[in-house]
Amino acid sequence: MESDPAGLADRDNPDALSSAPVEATSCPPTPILHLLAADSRSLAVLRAELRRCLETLGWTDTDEIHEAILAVDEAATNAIEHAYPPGGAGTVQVVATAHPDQTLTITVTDRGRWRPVPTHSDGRGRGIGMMRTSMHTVTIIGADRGTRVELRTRRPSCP
Amino acid sequence: MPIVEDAAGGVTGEPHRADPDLSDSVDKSATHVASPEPLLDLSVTYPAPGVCVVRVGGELDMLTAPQLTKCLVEELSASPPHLVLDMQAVPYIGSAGLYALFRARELAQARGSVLHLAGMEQRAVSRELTVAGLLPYFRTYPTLDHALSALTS
Repeated sequence: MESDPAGLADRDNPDALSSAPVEATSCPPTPILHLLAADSRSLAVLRAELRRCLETLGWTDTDEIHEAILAVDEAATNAIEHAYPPGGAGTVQVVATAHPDQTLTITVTDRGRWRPVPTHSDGRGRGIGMMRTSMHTVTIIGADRGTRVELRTRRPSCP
Repeated sequence: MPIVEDAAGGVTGEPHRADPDLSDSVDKSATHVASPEPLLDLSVTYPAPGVCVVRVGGELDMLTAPQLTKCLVEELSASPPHLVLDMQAVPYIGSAGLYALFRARELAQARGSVLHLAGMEQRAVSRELTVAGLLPYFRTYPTLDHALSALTS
């Protein structure tokens, strides 16, 4: 699908940024990315979709794009790996919301069981540290009906 | 209680709903069907006596990292003195990929092999290894040529 150059032009208009969510294929001003199958095969698609979204929003710095993708990928990986019983079906919802200061809040939500952050020594749990180094703010909200990870990006540098 | 962490790892007391409504603004019609598996491209060569080279092509994530581990277990079963992992064609590595590399190092040690990481001029990989503090655990080279020069001279 075509991107929305008009939406990009309205990027600095707070009213445009706070308008209702739109379909995944037209990102600005407020993109819903995907409701993913909780399956590791969804991750590559999610990363590609997020990259397109950030580029459409005017992000140009490859490191900044990489960091945002990394954090969202780690959050989605955790949801896919830990939220649902092995072999069980589930979904992971990824929603990005643009703010007037050009930062983005990207939420990754599952409907599985809240589980504490794994800390055992097999290398798991590193993903949350990677999120933290990549994002301005990482908020993890656990509830009986699922877990939501809210990632606030740093402000993108202007070209 | 929600866990609220800032970039420095500190915990802030930002209030949140105790029972967040996780069902708001969900577009059910956006359900995504996973595309065909993006398989990792792995090629194994033996360019010099005692040197096994595994070239990795593709993104290393939760899906593909086990493919790499499986390949390395097979190659290390022959206990090559040196195993070089060429990461030049890896444009993305997540925590699962980093874990696979760390595991590869352990597997190599257990087999009496030395693991070398080449292609570190690929920033996507070297940056994550650095951020994760794992770089000091590996012998690294900018390119495969650098690694082979060091091992065959």
